[in-house]
Amino acid sequence: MALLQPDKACEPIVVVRGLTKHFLVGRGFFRKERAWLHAVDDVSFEIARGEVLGLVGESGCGKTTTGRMLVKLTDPTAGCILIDNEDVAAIGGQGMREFRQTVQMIFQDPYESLDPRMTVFDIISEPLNVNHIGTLVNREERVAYMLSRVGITPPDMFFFRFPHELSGGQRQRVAIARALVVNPKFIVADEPTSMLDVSIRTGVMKLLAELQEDFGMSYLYITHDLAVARYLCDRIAVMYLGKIVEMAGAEEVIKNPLHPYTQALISAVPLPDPAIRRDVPNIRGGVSKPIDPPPICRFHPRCPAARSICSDRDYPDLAEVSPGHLVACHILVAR
Amino acid sequence: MDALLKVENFTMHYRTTAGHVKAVDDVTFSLARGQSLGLVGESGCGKTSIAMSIMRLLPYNSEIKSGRVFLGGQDVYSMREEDFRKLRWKEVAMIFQAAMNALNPVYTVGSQITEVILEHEPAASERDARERVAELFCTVGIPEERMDHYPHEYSGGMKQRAVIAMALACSPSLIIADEPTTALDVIVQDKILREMEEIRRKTDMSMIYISHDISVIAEVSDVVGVMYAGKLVEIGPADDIFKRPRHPYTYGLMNAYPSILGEKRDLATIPGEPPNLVFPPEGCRFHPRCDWATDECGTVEPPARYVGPNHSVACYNPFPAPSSGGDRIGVATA
Repeated sequence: MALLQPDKACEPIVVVRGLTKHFLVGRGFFRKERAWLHAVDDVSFEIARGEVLGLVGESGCGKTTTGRMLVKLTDPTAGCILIDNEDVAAIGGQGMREFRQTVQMIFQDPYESLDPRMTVFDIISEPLNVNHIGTLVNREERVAYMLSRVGITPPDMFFFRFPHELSGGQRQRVAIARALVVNPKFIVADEPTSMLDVSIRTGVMKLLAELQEDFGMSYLYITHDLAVARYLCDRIAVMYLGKIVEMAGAEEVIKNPLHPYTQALISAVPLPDPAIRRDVPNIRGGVSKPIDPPPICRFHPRCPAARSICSDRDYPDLAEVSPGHLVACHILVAR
Repeated sequence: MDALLKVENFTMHYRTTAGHVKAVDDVTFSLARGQSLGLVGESGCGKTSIAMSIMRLLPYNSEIKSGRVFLGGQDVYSMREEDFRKLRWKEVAMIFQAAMNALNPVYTVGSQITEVILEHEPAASERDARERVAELFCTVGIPEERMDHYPHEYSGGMKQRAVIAMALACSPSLIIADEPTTALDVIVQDKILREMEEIRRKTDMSMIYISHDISVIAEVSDVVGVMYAGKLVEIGPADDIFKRPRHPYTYGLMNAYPSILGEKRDLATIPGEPPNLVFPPEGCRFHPRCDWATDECGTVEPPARYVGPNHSVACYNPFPAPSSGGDRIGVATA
């Protein structure tokens, strides 16, 4: 066993293969037929130790569902997830407690993710209580340390405050401290800064980057904002209607997007410079819902580059077009 | 220049159980016909309160302490309510934040817009009004046959378009758009902003865009006003503001946003948090968070002064114009 240890550092912390989630829709009183919403469809990716992977896409593309499956808040329809070499689907009972010490989640809305009847100390020490980690004195020290790490100082001033006594930015910092208190190896962060005000948001983003470096965790960072993903992530995966359409290093995706959807997404981002006139994104129509979609490219009805092969062939697989740059597009791969 | 809208020394408070919230404090600006103004600031800085003041839609617990609002030369608050109601939608219309909730779920979208037209133009027949709605739908890019559908049958982007169509119904000279695209995805946001700008250019309407996103404001505004804690801290031509921000808060806002443009760079954080407006800080409301604050900043409120053509800033130590070559920190400590 000892011989295997050095390899462990090179192994990815998260391995996702063929992850799929279908939700049942339309089973109403008047609608007798069953239909399935393909929220996440055959998604595969890996996250290395200490890496931050950004999952970017518009609302309804399945990015939150993917995140929830990784922390076992939603069970997948198919596919497998390995976190730290453990099959997430097989975890149950006592294993669940250990799993929760390895994997944590930070939610989008700090106004809803904190129990209004618990004090800051109770909120942050609860994961320690549940897992019987340390004595009360240890826990107090640990909570004080976490609070000071997330920029809430002096910590003992905040111990007995309730969430309603905190501002939005402070609440999100408490939520971050709660996630980090058990020293997780992997964190799913679901738009943790999108509800915060501009001047607060930057502080929280910087904090996340700093903590990631110090604690060496891995993140799955879910966001709709490409600029935020560029700032925080090592790699970016772009999702469209339940599928990953492009995945590459963060700078590569921003500077050299290949998939027509990524290109449209990037050209639609408003720029803070009135002198720049952007090109009109070359894209038609709007996002539909992937309810029982045919097994062909989901972007082709809106795609400016679509040709007959796009509607004739099955869904394009993610293929490597240059080192580390994966794209799911028949036209790009054929070239 | 013929100013369509003038807001003069406007101060407005909300009475709450915790005390008076000083939501808008001594705000002055004017807007010419055909111009677009972008108001940018964080939540609770008074942007929406100003919009509601212009629309005369303030809630019962608001109290106007001083100042006046002129719309097309008429004093909004000296008018009788019935007279102003005739101007609403016809002269000044508003696109509300969260279009999802701005439409009545039990009426068809078409009938809600026809109602606006019939209310303000008694001479129009129902048929004329429906024709007008069909035209409006065409302008904002909704298929005509969707007129008889209910709001829940619309997507988010389409609801937003319908609310824009409603604002355009009586061809007002001013439209106030309060976070018109905040709830939308980037691609839809981009389309709607482009459409709104095109309509503005065609019809010579004035627009006030309200947003917390400085990039959105950069794209659509001729003039930019930056608000902080109820104060208009800087206002000027968009090019000027973005090239040469003079107020430290404007500067901070612009550097706090990551961008997909250029090289990846470090972000500047603004320390601290916005103040509680029941007890705003003495002097400049930004001084507790300002790196360049001096003793003077904490005692006496800085008056707005001109630093360029049509560009005014309320700060004792504004950034010098780049041509003067002065070092910012040097000026502040001198």
